[in-house]
Amino acid sequence: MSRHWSRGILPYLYIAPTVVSTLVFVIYPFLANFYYSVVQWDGFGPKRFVGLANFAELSRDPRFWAALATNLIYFVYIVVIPIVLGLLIASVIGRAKVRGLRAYQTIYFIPQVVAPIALGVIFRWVYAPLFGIVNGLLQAVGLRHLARPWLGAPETATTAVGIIGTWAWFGFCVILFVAGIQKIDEHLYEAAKIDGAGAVRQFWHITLPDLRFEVVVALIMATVQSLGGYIFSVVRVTTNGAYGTRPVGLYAYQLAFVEGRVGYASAVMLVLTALIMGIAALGRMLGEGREAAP
Amino acid sequence: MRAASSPGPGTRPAVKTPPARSAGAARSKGTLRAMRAARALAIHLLLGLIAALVLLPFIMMLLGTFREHVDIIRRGPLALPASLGFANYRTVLFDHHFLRYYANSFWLTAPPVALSLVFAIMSAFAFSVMQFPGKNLLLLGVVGLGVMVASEFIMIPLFQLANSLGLVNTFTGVNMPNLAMSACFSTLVIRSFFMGLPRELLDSALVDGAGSWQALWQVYVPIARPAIVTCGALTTVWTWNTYIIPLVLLHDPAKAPLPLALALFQGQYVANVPLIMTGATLTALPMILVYLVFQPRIAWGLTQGAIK
Repeated sequence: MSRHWSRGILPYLYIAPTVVSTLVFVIYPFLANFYYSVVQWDGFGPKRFVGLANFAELSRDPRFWAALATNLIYFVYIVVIPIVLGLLIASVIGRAKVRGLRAYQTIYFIPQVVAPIALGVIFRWVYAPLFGIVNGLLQAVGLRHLARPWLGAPETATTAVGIIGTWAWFGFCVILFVAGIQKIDEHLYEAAKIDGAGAVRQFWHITLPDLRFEVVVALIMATVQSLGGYIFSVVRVTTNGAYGTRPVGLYAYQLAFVEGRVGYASAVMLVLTALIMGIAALGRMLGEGREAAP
Repeated sequence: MRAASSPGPGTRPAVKTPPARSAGAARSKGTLRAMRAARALAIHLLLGLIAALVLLPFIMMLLGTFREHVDIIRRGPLALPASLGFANYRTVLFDHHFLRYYANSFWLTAPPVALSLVFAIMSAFAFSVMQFPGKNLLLLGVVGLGVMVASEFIMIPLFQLANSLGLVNTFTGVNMPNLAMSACFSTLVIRSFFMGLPRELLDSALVDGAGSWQALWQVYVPIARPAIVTCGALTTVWTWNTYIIPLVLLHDPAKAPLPLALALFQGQYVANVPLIMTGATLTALPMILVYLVFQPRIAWGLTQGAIK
């Protein structure tokens, strides 16, 4: 009956709105990045083909490497610490039946639905040098001498921004992993106990492999955020990249829209794009075949 | 009423010593139960502590909206508000134009989300039940790629494209890429829902004389409602929270959506904490409410979104 749809333009009419709008406003700009990355261009005048010169410059650009190193620090705070802490807490809770897990989940996920700009604005106050919350707490417990402008000094600024990410992701990981552990077959643990495996070995040989998919989900999501638009927004609104907090994405933005070096900015952005898409693809390969817990 | 449904600590017999059977068995049973209760308590303390940590910045934000800046200077950042007045909200909404930014955010969220759902329903239908040349290429190479592309990847050429189309400083310029990206995401989610439906469903609709268009909207869409609602809720949150595309395309502050306006607002009024917290609350609250209404669908989508 529905076979005749195979012929004719009907299917194309159905997909046209999505496909055409995507081709024009997503795929075309995505591909244009490749072209822009091999030209020298201020964004308005004529373009000059320069081959791979932008990438050669990038490899020698200390500002680019500094930005990439900053992203690496964010990766530790947004990806590594929340996942390790989450696994630790989840394995402590283990298979104990937790009532009201959903209520905790509801709370823990809230940072994920709030605009990163709003999170950054809130944490500007948290970290403010005068009348900020952290310094206020320090003063309240008699540690006034530790108070400092957290976002306004190179020694603390990157850490302070990174901790915003830890805060936003940590609860998310805990819930993801706790819910994942509850699904692991109890017999596996019983068999391990009979074999005399201790808590640590149970963790390495049962919990971690069976949580593989949940770990991958957290890894992909948080990695993309530690490199991409999330950290871009948070940094832009907290420090605007000062004191060594600038990630690669913000560097590319400033190159293109402040310094007027559109070609070079596109090369920088292309490297970031490859990094994010590569990590996401790798993660998808590792976590193939199962659904996440919640 | 309330006391009866939640017994106080003294009224629960289980807490008291269980009636003696053999003394040893009773004690071990009792200790086991006590241990389990202690363990549950410890777990809830731990999870509760994390919940408090997650909520604390939002609570401070909310409390901050009821204070005055001089009050923060005089009594410190941790003091509770002296009263619950909404003067800051009035100031931010009317004097600082957040009412207009609300309207901007609405026009930058509702139309693209609604249209993207219609687009996605249509394309998901074709990609799930129809066969046509180029299907896989279009599905993977356009829709699949469209889902993977993030706004920051395309921000530089997008400005150039909008510039050449005369779309800089227009809502359309921001809405089109957001619409396309949302349509791609929703297409994949709704498609996988359609794929799970039995083929007979479609065939019987067609036997009844319906065209493919009626079959889609009268048979498929009502069944797929949970998936469609999930997509709508998720893309609403994502679109409302976008910052990069408006930053690049909307240079007129009067057209800014809330996140962009909030960032500009903070730059201008960096000294007045309560007003800034009020702006942050006005930006964050609508999406927290959407999230609470559509729990746990959004929670599901947040994790599935990673593998999109």
